[in-house]
Amino acid sequence: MPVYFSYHVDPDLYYDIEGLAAPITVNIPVGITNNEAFDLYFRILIKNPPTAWSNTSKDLGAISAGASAFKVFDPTRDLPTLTDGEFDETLTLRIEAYKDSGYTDLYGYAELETTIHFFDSLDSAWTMVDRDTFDDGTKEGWSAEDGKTADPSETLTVYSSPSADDTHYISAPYGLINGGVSDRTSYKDFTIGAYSKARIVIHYWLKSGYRIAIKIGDKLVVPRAIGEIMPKGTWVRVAYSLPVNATTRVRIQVNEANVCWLDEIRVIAK
Amino acid sequence: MSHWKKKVTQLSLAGKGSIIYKSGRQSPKIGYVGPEAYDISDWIETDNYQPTTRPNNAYATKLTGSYVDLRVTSSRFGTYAPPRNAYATKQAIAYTTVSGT
Repeated sequence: MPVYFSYHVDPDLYYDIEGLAAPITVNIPVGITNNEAFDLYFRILIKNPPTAWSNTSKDLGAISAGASAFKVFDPTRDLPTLTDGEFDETLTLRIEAYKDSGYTDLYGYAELETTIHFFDSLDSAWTMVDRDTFDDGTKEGWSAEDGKTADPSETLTVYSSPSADDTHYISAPYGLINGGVSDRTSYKDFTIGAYSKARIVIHYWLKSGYRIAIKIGDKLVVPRAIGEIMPKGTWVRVAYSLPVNATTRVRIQVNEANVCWLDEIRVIAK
Repeated sequence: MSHWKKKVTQLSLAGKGSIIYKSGRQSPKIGYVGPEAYDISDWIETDNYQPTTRPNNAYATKLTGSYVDLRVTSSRFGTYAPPRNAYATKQAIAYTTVSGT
């Protein structure tokens, strides 16, 4: 088959349902490259979708010959029923490439299995290891380090000198603004003790026209190119796993001064 | 042609945006930071292959993660194009939006 489907960093996905109403939208960015000599039209779908899911097929449109693009697959789901604060569901994603805009002339397809780890970050089954609300007006341990330490491929200057700020927040009265000192990246070290699993939930608000990169330990989970296509001017929730019995540095990199706020950074474990 | 294919089976990214090329008699694998090495053996036209020659212009566009769009140019070898195919890469995160100020 001339179509391939792989994953970046991790085959699994993590999704915090805390406070969300049904149906939930699971936005999954996918990078696609068309190395053919002609345009291809791509479709992504969940193969044999469980009944809880809707919008399980999406036509992503054309990608020109030799071009690459990021697309977002956004199926919706009923709220999962959690057991001990979590629920794992394995799906088979399928990417199809067609030679025509009517999606009738199949060029090829490929499939990829992924497990989505749903959880509720405020469920009592989890221990709240750290929760940064910034509502006391402090930085709660967030600092800045020199350089583009999340995604060095960022082409513009990055800025950070974080401080509590009341412009944007989830929990009043403060969020954490990224600041205006150039060539700096925000970070915080999170230490997880003797647990079996841990999660981190990051909420950010980014001004339109700018981009963000997020690195968790040595994993660049949101490269700047992905941060560029994610929503702006609203609060975005991203979740991921953290290693246990370890200290992990989480880095948030933004390419302009005073354009990004963080709030409700939650680290949970069980 | 067979000589090139035997001696050079992979060109890969090593670090951000750079390509290390090896030629010679030993296994010419080149490290790539990521989960996959990118086998480009079927890209190569090898009529002018010389074991000691390095491509004088090699570059890659790294979309992200585990695949690359890579071309190798050499005044001696000419320009080599990727195989005809399509790649998709699921990214590391799923996201949603939430309420806030």
